[in-house]
Amino acid sequence: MTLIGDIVFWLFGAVAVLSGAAVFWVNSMARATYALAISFVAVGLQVLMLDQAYLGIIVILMMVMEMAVMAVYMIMFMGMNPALMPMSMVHDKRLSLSIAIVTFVLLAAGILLTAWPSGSPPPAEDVTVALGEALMGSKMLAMVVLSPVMVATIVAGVSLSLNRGRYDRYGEDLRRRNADDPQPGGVGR
Amino acid sequence: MGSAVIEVTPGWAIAAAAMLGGLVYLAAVFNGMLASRTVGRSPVATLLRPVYETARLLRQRRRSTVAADALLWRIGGAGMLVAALLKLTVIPFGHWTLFDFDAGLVWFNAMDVLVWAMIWLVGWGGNSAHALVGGYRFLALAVAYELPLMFALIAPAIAAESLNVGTIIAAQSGLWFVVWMPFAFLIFSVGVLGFSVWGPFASALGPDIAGGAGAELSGVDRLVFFAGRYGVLAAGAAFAVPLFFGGGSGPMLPAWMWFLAKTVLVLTALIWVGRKLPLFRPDQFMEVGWVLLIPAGILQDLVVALVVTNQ
Amino acid sequence: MGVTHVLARLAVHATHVLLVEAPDGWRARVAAEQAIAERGWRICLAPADADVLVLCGTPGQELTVAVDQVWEQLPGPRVRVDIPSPQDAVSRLEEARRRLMAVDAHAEDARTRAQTPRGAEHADMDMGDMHHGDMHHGDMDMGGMDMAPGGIPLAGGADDRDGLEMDELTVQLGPVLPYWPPGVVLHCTLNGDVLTRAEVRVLDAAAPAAVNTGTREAAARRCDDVAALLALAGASDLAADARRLRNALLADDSARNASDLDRLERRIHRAPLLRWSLGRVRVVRDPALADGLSVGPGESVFDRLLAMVSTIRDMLNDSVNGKRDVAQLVAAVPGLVTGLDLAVARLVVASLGIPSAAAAARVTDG
Repeated sequence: MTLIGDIVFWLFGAVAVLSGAAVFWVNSMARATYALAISFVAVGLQVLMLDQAYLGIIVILMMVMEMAVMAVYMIMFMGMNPALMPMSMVHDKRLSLSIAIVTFVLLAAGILLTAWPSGSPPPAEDVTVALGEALMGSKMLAMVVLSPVMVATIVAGVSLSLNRGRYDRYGEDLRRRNADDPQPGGVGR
Repeated sequence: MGSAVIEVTPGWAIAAAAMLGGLVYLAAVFNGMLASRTVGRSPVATLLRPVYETARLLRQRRRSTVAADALLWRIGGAGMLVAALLKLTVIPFGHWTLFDFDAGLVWFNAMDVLVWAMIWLVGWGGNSAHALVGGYRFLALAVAYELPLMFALIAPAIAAESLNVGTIIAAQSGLWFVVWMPFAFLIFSVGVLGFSVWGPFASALGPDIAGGAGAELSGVDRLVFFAGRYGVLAAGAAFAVPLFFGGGSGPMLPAWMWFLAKTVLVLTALIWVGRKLPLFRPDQFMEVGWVLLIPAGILQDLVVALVVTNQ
Repeated sequence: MGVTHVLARLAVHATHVLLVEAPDGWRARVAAEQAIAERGWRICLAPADADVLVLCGTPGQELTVAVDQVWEQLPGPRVRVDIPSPQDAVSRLEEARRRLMAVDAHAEDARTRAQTPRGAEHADMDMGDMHHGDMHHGDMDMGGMDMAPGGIPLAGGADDRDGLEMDELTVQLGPVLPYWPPGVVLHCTLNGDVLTRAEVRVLDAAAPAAVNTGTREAAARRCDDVAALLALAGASDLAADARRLRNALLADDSARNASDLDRLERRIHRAPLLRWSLGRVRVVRDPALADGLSVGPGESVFDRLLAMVSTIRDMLNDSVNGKRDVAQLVAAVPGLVTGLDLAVARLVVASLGIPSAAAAARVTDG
């Protein structure tokens, strides 16, 4: 990459790390969520710069969507501070710190001690295909099947966690024609 | 299939922004016309309505609420316009585009997901119950329309075997996509109405919650937010043209003129339809989106894939 | 002329008006709406969007306090006018227009106003300022922290309709809220946007006696209720039709009223999406409440809409319509809306047609 490209890449990296750290020292849950979103978007932009057009843009898309929904859950369930009040996001300081340091040391050792390829060979003809092969290789079919299975699992998990199940909605023998909901949905299911 | 577009220098971004401004103006005029159809207004007054409204909002003072999260609030307000402008970068104006991106289709989708964040931030930042309810209503509707929109966007990509907008245009040289993938176009229109909080999907800004997410905005903030809303609607309408209506193709006139004409047609159709339909409440539309529109989108994709593989 | 003056002259063409209706100010409000439409002005939904605050009718003391609070929420440049009777509408709006153009007065107003938002009297803020946040101490370090940012205490948590524990917001609906019955205030506790508790209050209970209104005006009031329900449901074209019919009824344009009403009813019948949107919302879920309200147990909001339209036809044909007990209607509101979310609650309240019932009650009392 050109010098400007290098500088921009490092800049995005710095933004990603700093806004990730910002998650812990801002004083509002909503700000923490969106600081994380900025971090992810910066990483997505870095992936874009590595000539991975689809991957990079998908990272940005998915992460913004997820952060928008995560903000809802963080504020709803964690019962913490969405208002602008000083708060601490850090729990169990000693244990967390030790786990964090150990993880960092392990990852850093892994990065430094891995045998990286020497020299800088030119990138493959189609970088995306090469990346796909390297990541998933011969297990492409498994990956494709995995996603609907995951979605089905998520939907099943949510349905299992509902307060009112099928028997509350349709009666003990599941014979009621219309579900007994406090507010019906649009299709009548 | 080659790309049909030429990338131009970034300096033309200003012209693109001006074009978006023109479309926003047109949308505002048309919407104003439909809103006050019964009272006989002079044509000059109707055409100048956006100018008057802009002057009024520029004159109005900004306001703040107690314990408002000003940073997030203002980001949300300004972000709509930014999302609209970013969307415009991949839409080819005839033959010229600002950013001939390999995954232009997904870029468009990513920019309208930015709207999720923006509207929620506007609803959240003002520390107001009605605005907050509006922000959450938008997210509920967004969860309902987003997956169908994504499936609908995939259909032209399957037919053109590429995510590049120029290639999609080139693939329509024989027949426009809207002819043989109409459900994709319908679901796409639903998505556009959804992310511009327009018409049936306007409950986030609805009258029952005193204007919803926009309830606490005034002055420049209000101007930027609502201009951004129109901008996102215009950009969505503009994107339908390369995606379903063959881009700038058409006899006699230059490509950019055809592009503008088709965009204006789609935009006015969206505005008109938006006014005709009642509000869809999020709890009702959620079932429609997941139970009806997602299977319809998947079936449409299946049909398109079968056609493409059998060619 | 400076930029400010040019802006003022352009801006005044697109003025947004916030209408506040006192319980006896219905005719004044209708006249104001017509005058506003003729000038090309718009009626806005929130004080943040308003340039002119119009108070129609004669307010009681509690309503005046509420209107003063709303007045504080208008950004500048702002004008406040009173329209006590329908004849004053045009002249007062013209005066508002002139005052809006007075740039120096607005600069003065801006200087003398509070520059930062005050958090004091929250119980009565009708347009918002909510509390948020929940306190789970657990093992979190929250020492030395201000538990009430901005002077607003943090919200407590409670179980909502589906058993989720969520923060409780205390929201007051009315008295200044678009398409809301005038003089009625609903103090709600919201979990998310589901109402878990509600209490209703009527402002200034000693309402003044109204002039005897004929069936034509009563029919026009019903039309207004229909228009409010249609506007809340998002059917803006149908709402505009209903408002046109209302104006025609008041102007005693008897020739076309019946056919206009028929056309409105046909259009409502033939709106499948409106039927889908409103048809599944049952007004009364608890059969015990239904009897006193003259609402059928399985009636939906859409059925109520059609019933209101047929009542208008009965009134035009001079059939006697049963008087509705407005006190009972108002007292039943909390029971009807608890457990519904805000949108559906507003639709249910609008389908009860409280404003026209209140007017009818005043006629027979006064």
